[in-house]
Amino acid sequence: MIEVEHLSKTYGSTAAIADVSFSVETGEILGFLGPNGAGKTTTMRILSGYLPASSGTARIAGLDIHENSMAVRQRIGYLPENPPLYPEMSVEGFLFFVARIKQVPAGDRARRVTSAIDRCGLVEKRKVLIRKLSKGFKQRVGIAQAIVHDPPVIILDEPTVGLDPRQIIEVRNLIKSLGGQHTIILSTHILPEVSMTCNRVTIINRGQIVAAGSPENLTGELAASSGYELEVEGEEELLNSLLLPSVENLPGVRSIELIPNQESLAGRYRLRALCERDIEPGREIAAAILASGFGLCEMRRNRATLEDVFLKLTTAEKKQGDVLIETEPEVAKNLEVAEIPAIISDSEPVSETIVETENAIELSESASEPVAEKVESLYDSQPESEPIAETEESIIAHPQLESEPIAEREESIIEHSQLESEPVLEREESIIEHSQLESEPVAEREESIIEHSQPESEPIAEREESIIEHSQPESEPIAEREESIIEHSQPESEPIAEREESIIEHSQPESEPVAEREESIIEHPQLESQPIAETLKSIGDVEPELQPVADFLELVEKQELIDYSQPESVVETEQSLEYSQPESEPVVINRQTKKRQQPISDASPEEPPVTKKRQIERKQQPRDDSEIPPAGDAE
Amino acid sequence: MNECPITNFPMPDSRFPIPNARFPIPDSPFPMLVMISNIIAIYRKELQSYFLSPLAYAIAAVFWLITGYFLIAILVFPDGLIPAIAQRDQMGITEPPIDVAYEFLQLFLRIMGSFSLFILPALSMGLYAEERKRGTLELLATSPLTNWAVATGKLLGVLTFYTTMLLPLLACEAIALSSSTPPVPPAVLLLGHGGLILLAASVLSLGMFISSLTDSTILSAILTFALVLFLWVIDAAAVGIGGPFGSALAQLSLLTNYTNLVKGVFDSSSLIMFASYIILGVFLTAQSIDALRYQRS
Repeated sequence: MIEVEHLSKTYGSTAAIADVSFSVETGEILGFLGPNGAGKTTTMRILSGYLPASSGTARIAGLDIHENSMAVRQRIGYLPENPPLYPEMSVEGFLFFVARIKQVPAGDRARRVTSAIDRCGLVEKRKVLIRKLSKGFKQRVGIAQAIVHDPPVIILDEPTVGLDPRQIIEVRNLIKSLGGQHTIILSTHILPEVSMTCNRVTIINRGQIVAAGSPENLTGELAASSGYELEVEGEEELLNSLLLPSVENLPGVRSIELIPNQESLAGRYRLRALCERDIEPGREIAAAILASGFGLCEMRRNRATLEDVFLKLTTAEKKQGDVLIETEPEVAKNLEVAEIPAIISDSEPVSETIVETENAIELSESASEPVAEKVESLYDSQPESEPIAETEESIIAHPQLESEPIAEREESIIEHSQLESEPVLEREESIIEHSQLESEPVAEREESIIEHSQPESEPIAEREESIIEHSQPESEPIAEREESIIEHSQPESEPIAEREESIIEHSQPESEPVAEREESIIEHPQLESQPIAETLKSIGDVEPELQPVADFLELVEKQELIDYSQPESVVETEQSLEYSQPESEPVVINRQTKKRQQPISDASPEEPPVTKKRQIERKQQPRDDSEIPPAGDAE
Repeated sequence: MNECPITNFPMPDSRFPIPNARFPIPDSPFPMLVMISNIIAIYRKELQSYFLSPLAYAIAAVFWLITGYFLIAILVFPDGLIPAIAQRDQMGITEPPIDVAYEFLQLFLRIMGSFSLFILPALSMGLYAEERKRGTLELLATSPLTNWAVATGKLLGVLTFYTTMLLPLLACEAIALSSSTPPVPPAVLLLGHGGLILLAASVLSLGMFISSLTDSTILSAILTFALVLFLWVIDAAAVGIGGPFGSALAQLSLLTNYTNLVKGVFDSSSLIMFASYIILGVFLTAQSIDALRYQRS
């Protein structure tokens, strides 16, 4: 359908694209991937007939784009990066105009326009002026404009840029539904978009095609370099003499090496093991490490994603790399964060951790504003039952996280959720395991932290104040965020219903804890008034990757699973929450959802984290009672 | 309508099956008809956007206000045409006889012509600059349209809008002239107003070309105004220069050619001159859009 041969385009002395050749079969969706400025738009403009090529030929439906320019243009639907719309026209009027200039026969126009409006979901906007449409609708009109004359070939230049996650999903679905009947070229720099919508991928960098094939093939090529990333703890002498050789000799391990210059604690080393294709010797590696007398603090499997392929092929390109690479250290940071409990379970003295914690607090004070920002934007993403040490430690990681706008972050969340949903689950499990290990030490430490902090009264008072100040506006950003993710208010309440139900189900087998847990649900909001609880809460906003993924998936994708016949429990929960803490309702709701998150995301209801949490609550209970009446009284 | 369960996004509707792409699409046996239908499509779109544009209405309002004032001033103000002639009659001067209706038409058309020069750049400034700014030029350039068709359609559209702006004034004129005896010869009326339209078409055509050179509507308006002013005063310069070169320059003057027509003189050279300006403008516009696409970075 589309054949491109040795296409080049030069502007003056610089080559925008050089010797680009590819072909697309009828009905395929080709993802055109590349960093900004790689030549995607230039290629598409040439194909659409907007720009002439400097050399080379391109044929669409067997027609040369230069010689039969008019005929080719008639067979192409083209959506430029900025949808070309006349703001003063109505949606319908505009589509009629486009149908007319694309030479749709007069008798067909009404039918074609109606069909395009229907496909793009613009039925209720057909008489609205384009000027008054939101960005998402404008994008849809842009797509409708590209399909209104039913072209065999559709060229879409970054169709999802600047849309919110929901709109992105909508547009992707639309594109997918267009495939098969139409041949589509889709350019983007959002990688999951390609793996989700496209049959084939062409990666272009600096004007040249660097890879082509199906998404599976491309990732398969890199599978050879898959392996594990490890963090071990032990003595340095033994590392080179004992550990590395013993692991390297394992079957399936191709090589293992020390990753230099990694910021990790003393006595810890990060290793990278490369494995043979299709062999996963994770178990053996772990056994070998333990057999060498080392502690295994972290083990993560690296799987090649399209992202890796892209980065590998376009490493020279800094501009794009920044965005993509940044997510990696972030993940690593979070993983480091998640390991901290392991120290404790390795029976290290508790006091050390506390010293660290205090450092962390100082850090957070010195950099109080960025942290506060972080807290606001990420608050709802925090599982309440996380180990305390972990959350406190994570303050250090906070300033290092880049403060992307929320929308971007959400995008990246989607990416992550789709690319590496398994690692996330793994990680969640590992956290739960950690927390199982150290349920008692946490409680101990909790107390000791309080003791420690009492002598130096002034700084702490300051800190408490600042934290409280920061935590008050928290409800707004979260509300905003929730709105942006889900425009309707339904999902806000319904996931709760669902989880409420599941909790009840889970808790039925064990009869005693039910009462306790329900208490804790009601009493929980009280904790917020307590400075330390406050601290814990606000500190607990790490793991930007982990929880938002689950949250977001819950909210966006599980809508259809929601049982509508559970109004009672919802009302109950919401009432009790409102009474106890009317101001920060969204926060509390989030907390509830989070609390339930883990039993759901795990296959089996994991009791231990909850147990641990209850212990913490109990510890704080006496102090609460003295200050604030329980929620039941308020009612 | 059936909806995707996840996103509530409407799925393809079975009532409107998308037929498999129909290709090859038979090329029309009448390319001229296709061209005309394209021109009409662009023309309708242009007209629609003018009649929906508040800017266009503001321009029209100013135009009506000021030309309306001149109309009244010419006729009834103390130093206007009719009081002056009445005074002349009182003083007993009857030679040479004065055709009041003709004089009035001359004066009024000249004033309208001059004033249009200020208004026309404002009408033509957005013709291509807006398209460039919004990126809709990309839509037009990737549609099976020739640049000629687009430029012609646009010119016709804006000219129609200008003509519509003239209509209320023509009504006033008709009222004023209806009382004249003998009536003004229709040829004079036709030539005068035809000249006004031709003048406007020339200016708009050149303005369209300038508009195609830039993304900025303001810049386009200013440049157009400067160019028009230059062509307006070129006959003064021509007189200064003298000789064959001077007379050649004088032929280029918009004012000279316009005055010829307004006088009721059927001067084919004036008609050809205006036609040349119009075609030159359309041609340059088409070329400039082509050049724009070739050099775009």
